[in-house]
Amino acid sequence: MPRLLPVAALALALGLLALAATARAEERAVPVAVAEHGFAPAEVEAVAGERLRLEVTNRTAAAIEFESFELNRERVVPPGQTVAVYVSGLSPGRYEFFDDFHQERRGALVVK
Amino acid sequence: MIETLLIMWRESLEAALIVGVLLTYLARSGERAGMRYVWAGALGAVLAALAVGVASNGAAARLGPDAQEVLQAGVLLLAVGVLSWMVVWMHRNARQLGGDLRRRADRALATGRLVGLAAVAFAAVFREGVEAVLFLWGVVVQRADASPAALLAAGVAGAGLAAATAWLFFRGFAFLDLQTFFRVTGVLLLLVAAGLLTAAVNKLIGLGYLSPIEPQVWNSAWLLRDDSLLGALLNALVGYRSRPSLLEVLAVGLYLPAMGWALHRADVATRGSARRRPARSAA
Repeated sequence: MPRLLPVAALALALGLLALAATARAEERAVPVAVAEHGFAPAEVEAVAGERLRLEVTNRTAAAIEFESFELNRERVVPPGQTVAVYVSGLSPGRYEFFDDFHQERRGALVVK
Repeated sequence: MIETLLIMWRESLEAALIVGVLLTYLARSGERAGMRYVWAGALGAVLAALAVGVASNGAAARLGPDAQEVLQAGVLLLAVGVLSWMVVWMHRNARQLGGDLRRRADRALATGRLVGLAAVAFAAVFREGVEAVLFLWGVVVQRADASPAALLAAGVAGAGLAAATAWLFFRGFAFLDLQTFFRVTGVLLLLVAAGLLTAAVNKLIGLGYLSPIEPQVWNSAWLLRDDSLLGALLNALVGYRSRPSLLEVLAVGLYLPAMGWALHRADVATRGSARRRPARSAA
């Protein structure tokens, strides 16, 4: 398969680049909890370009789905558990997130 | 109760649409027997999702949420891999000529192709299946006032509605002539695979294993919102996102042309050798 070989090589290089980029970055933990009434805190802040580790804790009795179109993330969190959702290199702005299973719960990440 | 039904409908629709593409394709190819593979993949995924859902829930959670997400990414990548291997294999072997070899290659080709499609069905159903199991479990736990049976029934009804929706959607395809139909479903299948690849890459970025390189290459929400009907449909079927990362875009940008080319070459070669061979009864 001579012609797919350069494609495979390119894909490999791409993968390695993406992997390497994470190794050097320093990350900051941002705790975000989900309670019955909503996100706590409802707004979290960050500085542009940071590598963030959103620590989403589910403090309700049912599963939640942390989702955000702006952040391009979705993650189910079983009750009582905490998951780490990584986001990095964001430009200043307001990035909204919500619980897809209970859409009245909404919050935002404000990047300055 | 209605909420449970609606959410299950939404969650299941994605899997239902993908399985629908596969089944429609096989039905129109006259390969009704092959549809069993897709059903097997889907059913296997339901059982696997139940197992994983149970293992990751409750106080005795044996599978941490991160491990589960890695598993999901792995399943998706495996499906893309199997499907791609199948396409490449078809490309390489379509040019074989000669009696026995041809027939053996045909059979292996046919089986290999069906395994590839079953893998896609498995990945699509598994991904949504685990979410659905966790969601329903949570609903049953949370709604102490309603009976678990009623809630589960609402959930199953939601999934059933999704299947019906997908069926209706693909009935529309029946009006296309054969050639157009295969061209459309061929492209659709390729886009589905690309969607699974995007999802896998997205999960690995969210887990912190890969860097997005640039988190938002463009924002197409002005054109098509993620939460609009069409946006949700395209998200379900081909992994549309209004704000993709550079890594996701590059992954698809590499994958689609490569697979599209391989598929095209397989088509061309198959048609060419079919013309050269004397007419045989259909396999």
